[in-house]
Amino acid sequence: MTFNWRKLGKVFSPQTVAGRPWLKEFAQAPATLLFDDVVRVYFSCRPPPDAAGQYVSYSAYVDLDRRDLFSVKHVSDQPILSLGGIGEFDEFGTYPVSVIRAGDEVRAYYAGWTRCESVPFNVAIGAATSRDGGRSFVKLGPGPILSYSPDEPFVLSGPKVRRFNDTWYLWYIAGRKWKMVEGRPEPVYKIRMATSEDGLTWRKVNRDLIESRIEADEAQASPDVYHAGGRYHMFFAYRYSSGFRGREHGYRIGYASSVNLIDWHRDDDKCGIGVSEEGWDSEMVSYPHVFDVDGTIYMAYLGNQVGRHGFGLAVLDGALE
Amino acid sequence: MRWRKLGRIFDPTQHALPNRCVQFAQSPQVLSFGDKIRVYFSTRALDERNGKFISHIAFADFERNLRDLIRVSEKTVISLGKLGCFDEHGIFPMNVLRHGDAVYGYTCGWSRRVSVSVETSIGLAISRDQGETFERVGDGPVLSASLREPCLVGDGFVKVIGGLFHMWYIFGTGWTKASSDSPPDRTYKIGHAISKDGIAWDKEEARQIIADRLGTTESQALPTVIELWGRHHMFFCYRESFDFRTNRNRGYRIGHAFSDDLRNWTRDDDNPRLEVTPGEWDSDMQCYPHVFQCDGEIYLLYNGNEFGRYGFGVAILEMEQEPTRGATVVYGINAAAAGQIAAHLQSCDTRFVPALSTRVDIGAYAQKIGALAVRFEAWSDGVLVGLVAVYANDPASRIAFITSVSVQDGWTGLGIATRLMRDCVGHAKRQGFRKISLEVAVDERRAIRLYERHGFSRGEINGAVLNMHLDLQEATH
Repeated sequence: MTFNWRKLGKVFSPQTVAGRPWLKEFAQAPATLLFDDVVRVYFSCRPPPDAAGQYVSYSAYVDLDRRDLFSVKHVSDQPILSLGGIGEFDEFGTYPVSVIRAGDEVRAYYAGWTRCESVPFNVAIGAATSRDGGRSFVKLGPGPILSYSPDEPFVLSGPKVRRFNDTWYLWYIAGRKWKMVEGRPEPVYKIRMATSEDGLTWRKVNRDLIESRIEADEAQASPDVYHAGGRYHMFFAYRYSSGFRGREHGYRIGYASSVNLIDWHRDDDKCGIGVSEEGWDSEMVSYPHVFDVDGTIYMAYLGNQVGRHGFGLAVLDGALE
Repeated sequence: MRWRKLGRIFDPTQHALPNRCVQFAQSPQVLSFGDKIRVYFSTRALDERNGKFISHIAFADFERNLRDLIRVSEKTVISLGKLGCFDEHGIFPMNVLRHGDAVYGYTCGWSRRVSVSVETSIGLAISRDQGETFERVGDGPVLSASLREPCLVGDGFVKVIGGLFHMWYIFGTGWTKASSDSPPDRTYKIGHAISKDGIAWDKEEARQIIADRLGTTESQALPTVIELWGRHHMFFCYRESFDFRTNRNRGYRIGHAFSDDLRNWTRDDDNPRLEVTPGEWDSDMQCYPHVFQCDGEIYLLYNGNEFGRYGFGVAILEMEQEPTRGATVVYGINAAAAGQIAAHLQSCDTRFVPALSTRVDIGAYAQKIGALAVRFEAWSDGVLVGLVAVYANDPASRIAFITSVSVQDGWTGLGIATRLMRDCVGHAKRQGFRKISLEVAVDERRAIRLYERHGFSRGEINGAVLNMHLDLQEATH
């Protein structure tokens, strides 16, 4: 049976926000934190590119009215994280970010971006903590908390943190190879996982969780895991390794389920959300994030140009099972 | 202690090097063979795309006198990393050690950045052809930047001590600019990590284990650790973080520290001291030390001016007095358990020619010695550091057979073997044996001299093995 996601439309457009030069376009990788009155959605955004056409990424949040998610109550006045110092792993971007409550604090896991000579960038995963309810974060250290290893040589990105049965789980992607496509290196990455007792020391599972479907070099991104109906549901994004900036080979949302968090059964036909015939999500859909507000299950996701114009919402009719 | 300099022994500009390398022989690192000493080093080719350097690993084989060059590697020892990998733009240095039948190579991989010149991480590559070529265990590193070690993890030196892998390495504390218009320079310090398998490492995250001599802007590099007379000694190089490339007063010098517990290190750069002699190949800079033992001598390999552009040289350790601290040796007989014998023989494995493990199963051999041989033992702090084992269990022929003579690295040159042989000969004599025999490799000249000093004479030669015997009824000592 296919899930029945009913699209509600775009809920946040960065182009509508004024007075924040660092939030010019893009609202990527939505990730929620629930408050009594609002649903806070963290996202990543960019100021205009520099003279060489290069972007940096910041992360920020928008507070949506808990009773009407299409009512924006507030947009963060500042980025929630500073960029790293010279030569540090997150000097050129903190994108994306995933948050979780940990006691009185809110912990954030984020991907930090650096720039390389032979390939455009490298990415590793950092951690930060907030003591003001998630409005601003202080990094736990100047270096990454999860980084490269023999089987995960580069591009550790897209962290999503969860806690199930007192164990911390971090889903993320790890680069497999840089593929030359029309003279330009493009990264191929796969979905991976690590576990932890405290959220600080992580043990990698060291395997691909999701089999590749459309081609061997399929790139898989933004794993998002939700527990319901006695099993774990993963929504993620995938694309072809070349030509992915257009409709035909661009990002789609995939689905897999598991009972033990290790062995996953991929079943994209069940996913129930794809590109629209026209409009803001007619070329690609990506970065799914499933969350529950007062008994209703929503998916936040990105549309065309990987969120350049913001993110939208869909609501689930029926149950996740 | 002092270093007596023997001069430069290898100039890369005088040899054909693989990978179209033309200059530099940096960070010499030793792998010992029965008949030669192999010195791995990093040399450089020019990246024609942009005029930058790319470092490759090569090696030179020397006679065990470290003077006579036998051969320079003709082909690629280890390929560079793939596109976007940590070791794409060079490997410098590579530390090698034997592990079982394999040779492990810990690489420091370089990849270029945009805002700073480079980032480094430590990889592992394994050789199964006696160090001719190496294959990496994966495309990524085994040790890299972490929460409080933000950049530039490199220069790993690995040693197995008590069954545990120890790595000393460097980590960057950050990049800074001396002035607003100068390119960023880095500062790094020496750290320590341990591992059960040599692949998964636990760092002592960001603990600087060697005190600064030049203050917080001192950069420390390339640690090498050796155990001498029961104490761990570390040699490394250090410099100012700015204006160190051409200013001889701010460039690399060799540092030294010692430790008895592998945790607390006492810095002591002047003992032993490596003199700077004006006008020499190493007059402006001394860097990238590697200390090792060979045939009872303790050697320092190091680079000189211009970070080793023109090769490496060697110095030899000289003692002004006998080492005192930690050098207490107690002699005993038949006290060692089979496990202690096995541990001792394992630690001496490559001192045997050929390596003991290539001839026997060390565990089974130690069991046999423990059960059947009379053992003359030298102990220090509960560790068996010297052993002479003799089979004296053939009362009919009254011929005793010495099966094993060994002194652990770091304990040679102290007269231990002489004392154990004397005890052994005295024992056989008192027990009424008329003869002691033994076998030794024909090219083990030092061992043969030792036995001759004890009155043994040369007998017949079978292949590479010389039989020696001592007639006790004629022996006068």
